[in-house]
Amino acid sequence: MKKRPFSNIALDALTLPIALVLFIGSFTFLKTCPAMEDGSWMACHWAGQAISGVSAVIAALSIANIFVTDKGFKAGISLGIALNAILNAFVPGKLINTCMMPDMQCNAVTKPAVAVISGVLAVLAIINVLVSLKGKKKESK
Amino acid sequence: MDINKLPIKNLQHKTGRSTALMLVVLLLSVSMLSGSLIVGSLQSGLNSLETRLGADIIVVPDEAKSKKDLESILLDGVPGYFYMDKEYLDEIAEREGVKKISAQYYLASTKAGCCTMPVQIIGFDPETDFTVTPWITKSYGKELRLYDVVAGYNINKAVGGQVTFFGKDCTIVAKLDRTGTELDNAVYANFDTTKALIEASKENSFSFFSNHNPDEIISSILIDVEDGYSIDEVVGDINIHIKGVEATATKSMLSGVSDSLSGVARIIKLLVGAVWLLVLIILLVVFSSMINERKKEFAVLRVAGMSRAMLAKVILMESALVSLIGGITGCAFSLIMIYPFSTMIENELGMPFLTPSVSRAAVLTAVTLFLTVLAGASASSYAAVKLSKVDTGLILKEGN
Repeated sequence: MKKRPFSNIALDALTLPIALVLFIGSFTFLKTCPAMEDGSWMACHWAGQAISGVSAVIAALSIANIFVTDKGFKAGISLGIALNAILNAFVPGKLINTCMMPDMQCNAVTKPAVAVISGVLAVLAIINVLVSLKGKKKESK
Repeated sequence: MDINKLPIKNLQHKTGRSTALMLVVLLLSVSMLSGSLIVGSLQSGLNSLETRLGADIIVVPDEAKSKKDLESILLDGVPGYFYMDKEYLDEIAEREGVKKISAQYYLASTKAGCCTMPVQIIGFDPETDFTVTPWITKSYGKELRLYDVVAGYNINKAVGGQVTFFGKDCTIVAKLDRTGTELDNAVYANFDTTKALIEASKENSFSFFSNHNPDEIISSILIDVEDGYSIDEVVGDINIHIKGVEATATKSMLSGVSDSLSGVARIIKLLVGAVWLLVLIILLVVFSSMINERKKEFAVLRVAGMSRAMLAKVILMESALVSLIGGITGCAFSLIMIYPFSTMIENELGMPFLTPSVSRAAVLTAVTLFLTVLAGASASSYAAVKLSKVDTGLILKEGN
């Protein structure tokens, strides 16, 4: 089995819990606004659904990354995490509308928290891509 | 080997130790920058509220229970309404010391199907207004027409968007700058639009205005006091001579917020001070014990020809580097935690919260970084001086 560099292990170990927090959070503390009195949903609900879906993909890719040792494969998975994280950051408010009032849960908590957590994930994943590609280059020499 | 690269190599070699030190320094920068940003934001919020209110005195009907109802509209963001006879406007205008006077309507939309959202609608008279118009002119130079509204910064609709109040579609023609207060959640309209909305609310069977003729009522009167007159004197004069209304100096209305703000600011400053003291002590102890632990390593470097000054330089560079990385990470963390979550912080604190401008934040970040690096370097300088006095031969002989 190929030995993985410490930087890859550290990045994977940091990415996975953050991805899980984002995924679990989308059903708990990062949840969008509740249904209205008449039972209908506000636009932010669909943003919340999309966040859960994209976060599930990120979490799955992060788990897969733990077991992958091939540097090229790892770079590809990390790139997938980075792109999904960027997509996730743009879901609430940009791709799917949130509520009109800023002090509502979706605007005050969900939108900034998803942007920040996804941003951190994207940065970690991009570093992981660079580290993996560097390792791949070293291996092929 | 380049002597300047040695501190970097040392830090890279002992990743765990470097990370632990960096985390301790991170605490310094987080506490300082977050503290400064929160205190600064609270102060700017209060200042912007004072400026946006723009009047020296606000007069409301007695039924508004003096300033309580007005406070909940302006400070707590609870949409509300209260009305008084329009004749008070002429009566108060004749009082001594009144320089400018203008009336406002307060109208609350509801969450019901007739309205896009529950917001405070503030109607003003463009001909006499001296509080809202200067702000609107900044973002919209033209005259407001019927069903044109100017939205507060927080209304999540772009210019040109439509909002529905009591079944009437209103166009957002401009958005106001952020104040960090509940006024950011309000919508401003001229008297014609406000009256039309009152009529529409009657048609939609909302009972707020059933007893009122919109042409004969107003909600509040804003007064700018003539130079040379005391605000308190004019307030007293109105309260004594005009029955049925209550005049309040805006400064006294904000005194409650101002008092809470000073309390919060004092606690934050105390906490930041305590964190700094604690972290500085920790840094002193950590650097001393770390250098003690590395005595042999430094003794070897001395034997290899490194002067005491060079050795001190390496130690100082190491600590400065750790402090710089910790400081930058801490500052980034603080900025990420405060700017995107400012609405949540404002909601939790229940006080006006206006985050500093980019340039001010940049200055605060630079000062924090400088002080953090200085603190880290100072903490290690004591240990560096102590080490330079130790006999190298003795250390190598003792073997520790």
